[in-house]
Amino acid sequence: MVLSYPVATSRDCFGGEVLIEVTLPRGIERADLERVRGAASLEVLDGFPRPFFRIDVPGRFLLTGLLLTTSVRVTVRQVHRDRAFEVAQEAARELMGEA
Amino acid sequence: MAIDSAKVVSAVSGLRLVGNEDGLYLTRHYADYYNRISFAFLHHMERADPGGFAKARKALIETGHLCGFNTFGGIMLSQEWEAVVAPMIETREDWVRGMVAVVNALGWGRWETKSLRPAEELNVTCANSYESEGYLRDYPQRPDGGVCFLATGGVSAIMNLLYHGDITTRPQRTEDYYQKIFAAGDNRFEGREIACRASGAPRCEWVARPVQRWS
Repeated sequence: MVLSYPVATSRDCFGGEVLIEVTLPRGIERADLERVRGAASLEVLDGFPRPFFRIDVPGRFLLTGLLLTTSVRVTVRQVHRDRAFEVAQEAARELMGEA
Repeated sequence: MAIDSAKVVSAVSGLRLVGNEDGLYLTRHYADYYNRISFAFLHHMERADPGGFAKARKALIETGHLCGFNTFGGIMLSQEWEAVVAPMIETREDWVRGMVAVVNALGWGRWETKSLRPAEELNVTCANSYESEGYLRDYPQRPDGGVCFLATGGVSAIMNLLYHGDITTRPQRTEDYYQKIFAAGDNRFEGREIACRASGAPRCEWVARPVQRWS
């Protein structure tokens, strides 16, 4: 089991959220998206030249990325900003089926 | 593949703009609200000081620089850009055309790239800029001086991001980066509004070129 995935970038957002870009060990498949827990909405915009997805988990994070790529952006909600890194890692592990 | 503006506008228009859980900010900033506080400030400055128009214009264009830096810069580094625009990009000039296409999905009016000379000059026109529309609704036509300040700053921001700051290298959008590309060097781009509907022109028109080439 992977303990932590590499973080490409991390920055504070206007409004108190923290955006963390996590590098995953493999490309994201559509089936991976279903594994994220607590999603209030899951959108896959596959009419775009590169399919874009967005998963909103209220109270935790907003997860966005492109299918088949290895990079995902986790916008950790303000309430978790003190443990933003851990929340981003949890999101990545759920996506990769390692949670 | 060249930039397909219609495809970009359609895709961006279909994106649901979201803010955080405390409410929406920035993504739903009402144009009328921005217009009214901008033009009230402009007129107050004009009444208070003989040089007030120039000072107000400078401040409002600087706001356009900040908006362009954060909004356009953020868009060009976003995953949405990677999904929609990046697959069509072959040259640095396509970044410019792609950004202009995205602007046309933002409700700022329909921007058209009249001409683009790489690293030298960008000329953009618009028949219905929201700033001139708002101005003419609330005030009489001006004898001179454009009022599309945010767009003026935005056009120079596009050129600064692409040809002075090289956003294609995916830099961090820090204060230092902002100062480097908007406040330093004769090669930084400065935008000017050379025609404005608020002053009777049929279209608004902005030109951005390096500071040294304006003199």
